[in-house]
Amino acid sequence: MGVSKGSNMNEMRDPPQRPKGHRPYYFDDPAIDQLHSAVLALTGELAVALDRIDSLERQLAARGVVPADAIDSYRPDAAASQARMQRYTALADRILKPFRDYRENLFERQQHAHKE
Amino acid sequence: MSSFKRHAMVAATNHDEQARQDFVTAFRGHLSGRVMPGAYRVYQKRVEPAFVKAHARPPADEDEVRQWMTRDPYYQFWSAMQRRSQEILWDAVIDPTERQWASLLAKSRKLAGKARGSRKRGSLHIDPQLQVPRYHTAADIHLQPGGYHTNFTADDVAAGVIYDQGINIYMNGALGPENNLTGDTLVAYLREKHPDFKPQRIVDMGCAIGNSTVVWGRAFPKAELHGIDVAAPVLRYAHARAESLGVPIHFSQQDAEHTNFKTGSVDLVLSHIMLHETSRSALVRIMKECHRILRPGGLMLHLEIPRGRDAIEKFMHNWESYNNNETFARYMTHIDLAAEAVKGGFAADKIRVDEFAPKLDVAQMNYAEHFFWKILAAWR
Repeated sequence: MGVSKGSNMNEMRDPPQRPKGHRPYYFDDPAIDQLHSAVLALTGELAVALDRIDSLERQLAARGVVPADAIDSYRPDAAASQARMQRYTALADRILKPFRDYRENLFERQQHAHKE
Repeated sequence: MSSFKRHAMVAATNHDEQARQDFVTAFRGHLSGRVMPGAYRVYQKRVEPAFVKAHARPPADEDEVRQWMTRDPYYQFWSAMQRRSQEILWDAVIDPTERQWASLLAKSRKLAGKARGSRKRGSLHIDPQLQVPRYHTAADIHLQPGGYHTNFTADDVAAGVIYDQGINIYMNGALGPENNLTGDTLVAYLREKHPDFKPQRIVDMGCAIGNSTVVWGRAFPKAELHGIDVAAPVLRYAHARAESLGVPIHFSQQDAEHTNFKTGSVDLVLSHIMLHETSRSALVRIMKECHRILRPGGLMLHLEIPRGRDAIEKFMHNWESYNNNETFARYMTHIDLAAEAVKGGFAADKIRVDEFAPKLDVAQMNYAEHFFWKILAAWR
C-alpha cells in the first residue's frame, strides 16, 4: 500500500482500524453480536464476488467469447458433476471442522474420564 | 446506483472497491426502507403493550422506551446491522482513499497552489494553534476512524475525502450528487421566507468539507463567502474541492465559539447540522458569537436534524447518540433552540423555529418514516 508507520508528519500513518469511543453490544452474549457482524461482512464480500462474476460474464459475452445464455443453459456432464460433488463434500468438511473438533474433543475427554 | 459526482478530489474506485460501496449503499437503503420501520411496528404491537401491562400507563419519555426497546430481539437485530453497516461504510471508503492517498495529496496541493496565485479564487487559512474542542476529540463522530480532525500526514486531506464519499452512502444518495441537500434546503428556506434578502458577506460555521458552503456560493455568487471549521484536514479538502468545482470560498480553521470576524461585519451566518455535534455550553457561546458578528439587520440560520414528535420517534432519533458517536445529539431533544438564541442576545420577537419536510424516500431516512428538518432563524 506504500503507507509507512511513523510519527514524522512527512510520512503517512495508517488510519486507526477502529473509531475512538465506546462500541455498544446489543445481545446478552457478545458472541451473537460478533456473529452478526461477521455475517454482514461476509455478505458484503459475497456481493463483491457476485459482481465480479457478473462483470466477467458480461465482458465475455460482449467479446463473443461466451454467449450471454451459455452459463444459464450449461449443464455439467458426469465427470464435472462428480468433481462438484467432491468439492461440496470438501467444503462442508472445512466449514464444519470447528463442530467436528468440538465433538471429538468432547468424546476424547469422556473416554479419558472413563479410563480413570 | 449512486449519483455521486466524481469531482477531482474523489478517490476513484476499482471494480471491487466500487462493489463494496454499492453493496453498503444498497444494504443501508434496505435497512432504512424495509427493516427499520419494523422497529416501530414491534413497539406498537408488543413493547408498548407490555409496558402498559406492567405500569398501567404508556412510557412517559424516550428513556423509558429505551429501557424496554433495547431488550427486544427485533430492535437488537436491527441495531446490530445498522451499527455494523456504518462500520463497513467507512471501510469501503477508506480502502480506495488509502490506495490513492499520495496522488490525492498532490492534487489538493496543486489546486491550493493555483488558488494562491489568483485574487478571483478562494483561500485557505489553517491555524496550527487552534485547540480542537473536546466534543470533537472525545469520540470519533459517526464512527469515522480519526474523526474530522486527525492529520495522518503533513497537509493531510484524507478525512475530507473519506467524509465526502461516506456521507453520500450514509443517506443512500439522498444528499445529492454534490452532497448538496442541506445547503439546498436552507437556501430554499431563505428564498421562500426572505426573497429580497441579498447578503454581501456570509459565514458558514462548522462547514467541514464545504458541501453546503458551495451551494451558497452558487446561490449568491457576488457575496464574500467564508467557511469555518475546527478540523484542518476537512478544511484542506474543502478548499481543494471548492476550487475544483470553481466556487471561490475563503476557508479558515476557527472555532464557532470565538471567531476572528469583526463585530457587526456579517450579513448572514449559517450552520448545517452542526449544533448537535457541539455541547450545552458551546451552544450558548455559538449563539453569542453569531449575535456579535452579525450587523444590525443581519440574519442567523441554523439547520438541525429532527428529534422526533413522540416518545418512540424520539428514542429512534437518539439511536445515533448511543450508537454512532453523536454524544451530544440526544440532549438536543429537550433543548429549546429559540431559548438558546435568546441567551445568545437575540430578541425573542426576532426568532423563529420552523419545520421543513424534504422529499425523501423512507430508504433514505435511517430512523423514522417522517422526517422534518428544524430551522432556527433569528434577525440581529
